[in-house]
Amino acid sequence: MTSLAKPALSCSGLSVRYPNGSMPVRNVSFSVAAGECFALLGGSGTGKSTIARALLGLHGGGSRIGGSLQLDGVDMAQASKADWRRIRGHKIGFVAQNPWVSCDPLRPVGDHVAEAWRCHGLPVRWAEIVARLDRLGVPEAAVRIHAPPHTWSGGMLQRAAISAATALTPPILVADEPTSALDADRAQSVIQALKSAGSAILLISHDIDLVLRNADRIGVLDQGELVEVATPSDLRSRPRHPATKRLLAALAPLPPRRKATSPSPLIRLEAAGVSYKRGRIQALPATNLSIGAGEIVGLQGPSGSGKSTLLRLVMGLETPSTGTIWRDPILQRPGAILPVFQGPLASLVPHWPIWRSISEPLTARGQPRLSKQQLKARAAEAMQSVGLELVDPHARPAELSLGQCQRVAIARATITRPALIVADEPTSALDSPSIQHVSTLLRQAADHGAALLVVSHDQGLLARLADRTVTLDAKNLQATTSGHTQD
Amino acid sequence: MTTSFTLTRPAPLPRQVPRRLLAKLWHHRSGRLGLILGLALCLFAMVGAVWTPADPNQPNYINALKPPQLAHPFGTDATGRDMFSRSLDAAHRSLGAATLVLAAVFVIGLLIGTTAGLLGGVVDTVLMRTADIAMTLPGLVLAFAVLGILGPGFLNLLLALIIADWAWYARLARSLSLNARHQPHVIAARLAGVPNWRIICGHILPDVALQLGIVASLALGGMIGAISGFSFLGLGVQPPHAEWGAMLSEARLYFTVALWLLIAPAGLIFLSVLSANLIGNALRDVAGAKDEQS
Repeated sequence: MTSLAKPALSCSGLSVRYPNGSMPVRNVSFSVAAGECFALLGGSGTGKSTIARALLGLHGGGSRIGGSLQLDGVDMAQASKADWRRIRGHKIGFVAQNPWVSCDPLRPVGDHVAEAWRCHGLPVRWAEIVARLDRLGVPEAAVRIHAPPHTWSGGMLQRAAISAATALTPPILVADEPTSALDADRAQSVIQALKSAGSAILLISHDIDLVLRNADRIGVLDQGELVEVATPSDLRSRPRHPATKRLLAALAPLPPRRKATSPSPLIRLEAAGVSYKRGRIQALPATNLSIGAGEIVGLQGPSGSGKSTLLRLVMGLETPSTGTIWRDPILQRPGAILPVFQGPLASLVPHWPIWRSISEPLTARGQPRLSKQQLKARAAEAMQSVGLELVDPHARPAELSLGQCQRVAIARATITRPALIVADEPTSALDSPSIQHVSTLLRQAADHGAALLVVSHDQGLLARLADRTVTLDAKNLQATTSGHTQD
Repeated sequence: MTTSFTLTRPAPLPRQVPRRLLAKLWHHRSGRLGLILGLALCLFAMVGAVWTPADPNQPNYINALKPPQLAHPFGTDATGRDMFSRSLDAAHRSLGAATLVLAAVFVIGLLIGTTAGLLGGVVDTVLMRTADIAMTLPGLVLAFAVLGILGPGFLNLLLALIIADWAWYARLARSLSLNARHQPHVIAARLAGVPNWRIICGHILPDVALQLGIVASLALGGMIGAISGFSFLGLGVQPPHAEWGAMLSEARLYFTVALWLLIAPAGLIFLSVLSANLIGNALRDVAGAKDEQS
């Protein structure tokens, strides 16, 4: 893989110092050979994006770059802004995280791609733009380039971004979390498009599954340092650094299911569908779904297939426009269904101490009245069960990491031992170690008797966590169930 | 319940971070400056309400238009009244009126807006159409109309400003409460079966009040300006009583020969607006700390 040809990108002893003196990146050395896909892997706050910005000369005004940074054989560590402007696009391309944010919503997509030539004073050849988009797998590119971004799907728009980034065939392409805004099935095809563009790739991601599948070599970042570089197979079989092992833990299988699922159904949707505006907008096609007591059901499907609407039906926040829902009487009592949401911060009251959020379900109707001291004690108990006993119960959510906030949300969702826990993308905002914590805790809750309905686009997570997975398909308007047994 | 697996135990935080809103403001650099300035101005206004070095309303024609000196730190006006005493005396009127009007529109807006947002239906329609009607007239024109009906006077001015402004706050409070209703933490509480009054008092009202308060605090500067403006036109505080805007109005006749007449009222208005804006900005910083990823 590593050829004798000069590397597309090499940096040695790279460090970034912020104006306040902190160093988010320290002494990082690696090189990317021509045509290679090199991945930088790390949890949040490990310096991934800082490295990406430094490599593109986009580090902020006050921060200083140390060490050497060679792009296609030219040292760029002390380059001026004007130098960088000439280099970007020619020698190094960039694909950003969220294609929607990186496009002006009022300009046609073709304009954004053409900008890659225009900003370097080169003539724009529309035929070539169309041909390139065609090659990357954008259907009807000749028509679509005149349409604004919102008419494109996320996957297609990211392809347009790739085509803009590789317009001048730079030897290296930096892609910072290029698929995190996309559905899982589209993510893989975008990565394929990225690789087919012909440049060497520096792929920056926290998604270990994606990286293991696609990278030629992987560098693991921990607290701003590059702690390990290995091929995917070596990394998987012989991880050396504790940080690598922590990341790999997210792929480890969960402990075997303790409880056999009982067949008695808890809730049954019979051809339940939701439509708005007198049937003109169909939010959820007629769907059959049954969740048994103590069962873990995964739910997946592309965006817009009605996953959220189905959850709202199950939670009783919405009534079906067609079909019926049968609920076990146990679900009628308040607090029998508790949710875990996607955004851990938004699901907690920002100015409440976390003990108050955790113990809130205990203050509901029908619960025995508890004093403040008793509530605090119960909250402390719940915090212990999610491994947060060292966190101050008086802390506010903003003082905790996102992963810890999600554990707080799980503590709240389990404190009254609900019959059903509904989790909407519970791990999508989290990094690998937190994903493992959260899925373990959800499994634990199910082992204690709660049924679990988990929506996620992370197929790996569902495969490890769920007893069976239901797929909502927007095209067929059908819910198909794929049962699969867990050891 | 014990854990059958290992979780990383987060270390306790090394430093106690401020958690109460006021403490957070105090730890915010511009917030602290604004608070100190605001407290100083409040103290100034309270002293002025009970004591002034000289009678603020007693003319002394021998002393007319004296530049600043030891006995008259801000000089004297055209009728020989001590400008320092007049500014001190005016503080509780100017500052008090602005805070009073804002507090009133804040409370009215909060109550009407959240009621409309949470109840919905006919109540929502009636309240919001009323607000729409109030909003179709420009605020100043509406205030002029009210003053025209009630006659000039300080209390009438306050009433006029409240009538001119409440609808904006009610509208804002309504949309904030609609938004708050769909917050995940509110849905979680609803599913848990937490009683409605508890959700409203614990989740929705504090959320709406905080955001509305940030807007109101940023509007304090404008409100002092508006009251000063009406007094400037002679529709607010009536002579001989002092008010910062009215003092500016009187000073404009003499400012080519006695520039010092502008110093005290303009400077105090400037400091009040500065203090309110500093606090408002700090409040937005410390309360709006929603650094959710992605």
